[in-house]
Amino acid sequence: MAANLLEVDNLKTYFYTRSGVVKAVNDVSFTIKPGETLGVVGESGCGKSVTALSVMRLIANPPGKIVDGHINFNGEDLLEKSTEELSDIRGSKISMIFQDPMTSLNPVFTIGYQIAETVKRHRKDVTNDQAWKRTLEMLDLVHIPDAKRRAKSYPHEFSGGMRQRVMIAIALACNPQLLIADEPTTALDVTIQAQVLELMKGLSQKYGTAVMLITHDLGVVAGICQHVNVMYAGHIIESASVKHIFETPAHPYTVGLLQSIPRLDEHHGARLTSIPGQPPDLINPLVGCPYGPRCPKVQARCRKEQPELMSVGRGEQVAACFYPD
Amino acid sequence: MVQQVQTPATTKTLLVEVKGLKVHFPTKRGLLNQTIEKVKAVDGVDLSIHRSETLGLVGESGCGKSTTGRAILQLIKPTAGSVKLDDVELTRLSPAEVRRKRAEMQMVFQDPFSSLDPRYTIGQIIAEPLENFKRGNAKQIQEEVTHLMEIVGINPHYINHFAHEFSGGQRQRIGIARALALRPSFIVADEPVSSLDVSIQAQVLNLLQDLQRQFGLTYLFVAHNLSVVKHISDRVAVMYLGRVVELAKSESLYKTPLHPYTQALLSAIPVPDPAIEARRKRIILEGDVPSPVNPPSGCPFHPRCWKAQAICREVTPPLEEKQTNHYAACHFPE
Amino acid sequence: MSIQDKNTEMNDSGELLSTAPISSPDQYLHENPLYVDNQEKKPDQQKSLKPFQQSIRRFLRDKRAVISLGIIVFLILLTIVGPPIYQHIGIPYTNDAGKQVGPEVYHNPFRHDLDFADKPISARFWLGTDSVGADLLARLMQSLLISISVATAVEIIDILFGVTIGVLAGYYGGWIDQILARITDVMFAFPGLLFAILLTGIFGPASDLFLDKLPIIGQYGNARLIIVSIAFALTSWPMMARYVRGQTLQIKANQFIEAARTVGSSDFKVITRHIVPNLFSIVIVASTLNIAGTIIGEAGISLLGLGVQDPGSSLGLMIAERAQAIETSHPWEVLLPCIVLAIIVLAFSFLGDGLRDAFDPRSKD
Repeated sequence: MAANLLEVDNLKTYFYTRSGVVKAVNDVSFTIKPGETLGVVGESGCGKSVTALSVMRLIANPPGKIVDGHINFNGEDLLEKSTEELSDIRGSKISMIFQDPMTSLNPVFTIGYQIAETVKRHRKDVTNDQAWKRTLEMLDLVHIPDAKRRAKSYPHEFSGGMRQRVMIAIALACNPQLLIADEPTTALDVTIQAQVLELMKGLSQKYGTAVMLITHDLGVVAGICQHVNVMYAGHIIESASVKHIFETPAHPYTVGLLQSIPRLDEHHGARLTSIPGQPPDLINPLVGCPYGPRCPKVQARCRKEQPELMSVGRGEQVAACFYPD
Repeated sequence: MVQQVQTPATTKTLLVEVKGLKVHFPTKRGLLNQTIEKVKAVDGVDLSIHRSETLGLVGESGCGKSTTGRAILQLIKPTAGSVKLDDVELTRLSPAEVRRKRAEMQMVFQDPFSSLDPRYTIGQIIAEPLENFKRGNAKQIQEEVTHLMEIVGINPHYINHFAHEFSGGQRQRIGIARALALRPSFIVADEPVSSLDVSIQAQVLNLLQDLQRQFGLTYLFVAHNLSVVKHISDRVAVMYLGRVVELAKSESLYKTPLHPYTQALLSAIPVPDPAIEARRKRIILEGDVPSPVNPPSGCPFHPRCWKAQAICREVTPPLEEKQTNHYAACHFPE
Repeated sequence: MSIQDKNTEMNDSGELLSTAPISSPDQYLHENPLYVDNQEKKPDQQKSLKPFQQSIRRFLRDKRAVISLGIIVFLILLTIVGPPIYQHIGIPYTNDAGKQVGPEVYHNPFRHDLDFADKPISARFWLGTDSVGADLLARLMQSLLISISVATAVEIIDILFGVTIGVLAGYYGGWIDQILARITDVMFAFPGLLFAILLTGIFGPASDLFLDKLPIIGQYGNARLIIVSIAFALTSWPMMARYVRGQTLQIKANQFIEAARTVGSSDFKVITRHIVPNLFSIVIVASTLNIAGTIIGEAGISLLGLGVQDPGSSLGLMIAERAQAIETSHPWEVLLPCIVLAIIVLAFSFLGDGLRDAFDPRSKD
């Protein structure tokens, strides 16, 4: 049984604002095995992006702060590392790609330079020629045609989909063990999204890279993830294999989410089941279950106690609910 | 010449008729202000929308769907073509006459954050159309605004609050209230749920459907998410590079897509079902979504099409009926 | 923090119904005390701030800007109520000819009396006198009056022309925009100061002659200020028009402008109701900073001797007259106007910065 690549224990990330303390990530624990693709799903404000940024220690301080928890990567706690050590890890052991391909690349450098820069930063013994060779290798890998010429082009000469592929090239250039992808295809057209997801799936299988894929699109998750965490109000409220999440969702929020998505293969005209109410207030979290006000199955116990993740009796599936399906 | 796509039923059932719509934007001008280069955002679109029907208009970025919606409403001046609303030719009206016609045709906008003026209360925002068309005195307008708020599900107590105090989904509802104020017969919904969270999307889509039933509205639903469009539309038109490449009933489009682009689009959409995802065969298109500045010759899709032959490069296929009530612009439809 | 809204549900006959209103949420919410305390607010109690009010709050948090505003207000009040009050304070003295001379005489800025030349700070002359015996405090107040009047006049014209033409150019584009662009190009070739020098050089003597009879603005050597004001106004409105044009284009990109057109608002209504109110912040900031520039400009012109003439007062004139005095035993005669000039210009600059940060906090960096 391989050791876990990433173990996050009781992570709490808070933001201190004038209106109060926003508890963006409020006691989150999960693991990622080597080579595994984990999907982190939730709507805006649930804390999925903040979780990813916390793992990379990219939370702006002020106003944000990781107030509690451990982030164990390969057995070592990232929260205890110095800035230099972190800077060595980022880009070479853990890489991240972001949502907006338009602004993620530096417009004044060629994309070849940006890829090579990453290589040279993390492999000090590499010569310029070797770095350039690796750059061209990466561009081929991500299916950018005519790599030699395009490596000398600037970001504005590329389309959104190609820029995202360049981002993937930069992220994978040093063969990281973990790739964190924060909504990598949300801003892309659907046919381009399909290309990029195929690419990510293929590369992760080929190189054994673990992927933490953050998205709000359950369809994307169904396509490439093996395990799924569903987040709500800064908590993980369900965690299961991708099969169980879709076939036998346990938490009412997951159930509600799946029912509210229009599907291509469903009958036209059927009414969507919407989740009533609004997303929760992160500054003044409720006593009890955060999903309570919107839950169709809420009971007295839900208002008083906050449910922890507990097994629902199907393999490793756990849900934070007293009355799961 | 592009043929008429609808067999003329009694004109009474057709609320909107669009023929040969073209919208070209000049991008480069010469010394004497002549147009050297232009973007052919919409390049010959025919559409007909029946009363109380929802026509979905779907496509990826650069296909021209948003421009089509705006051109129909005369928010953008069409370069060529005809747009008839209830048998009245809109393109030949003067600006003042168009403004009067606005009472019959409205729009719901995409961005909940920039579609409401931050300096005004939502009461004032919803009242603006009523004031423009003098639908009563101040008191009557206030009552109507309250009524509209209730219809879309916003507590009327908040009539004097500002837009920034509401969430995205609530703002979209306010925008819908504003669009409904004049009791139009035709509404263009331009990506109304694309900026919203999934669970809120469902609320707003349900609201739009309910309003359609209650007020007998006709919708042109423009979006890039085919699942959403298929769900809410009776018929769907697929656009690519400024042209309609397929037009059919929602179910038919999904079950038997005729145009290769539609097939590729359908196969690219992720379905929230891992069993299906695991076994489906994806058609992965090569290359990028092209830019409408320099569209390819002949069929606009031929550079990316796996079935392309010589004729596809030379002759632009017209939108024709290939099966009953199912139109496609392809030389080799499935 | 978001407001709970109602859900719409459909009953069997297809009618839309609203469920529980906000003032009595469902059972669950009522019984959870923490939730009730934090979330349940009666709609009227909930504070609803216009963006303008939010900006004012932000402004008040900027101490430097608030202090600057205080200084400016103080100085303005000083110039308005100062002279009349000052001319009533003081004990009359008897001069050589045996006449009683009261404060309304010796606190008059235009009065020359060589008997009292170069006096230091005293009970009679609160800041001393200058080389011809005029009370320095009185002269300073008069100078400030000049500075502020010129700045105000210039700014009014600046705003009127700049906003009108800028909005039209930004909204309509086309030939208005082209003309504006060409005019601004031409005006940029003329730095304000040089243009003012040019105009006063040409029209200066004539204005002294003809405008002399105009009360207040023409008398006391202030006639040239009219020319100076015109010069500065002409060179500053194109800049304002450019700012306004740029901001109009940004505002136009918002969907609420398109929405206003869609609901049948005329161009005039769209401009006056949606664009102009959103221009407020940039106009205020540009004006404030322009005022600072005008004050310096007027001082500079007067320093060169082309603006206010003797016996008038201007900060620039005061500095010019006694520039050499810095080496003699009365340096305060020149330092005083310098310090006052510095203070007022800095105050307007900080105020402008503060306003800009308050109305557009994103531009803070």
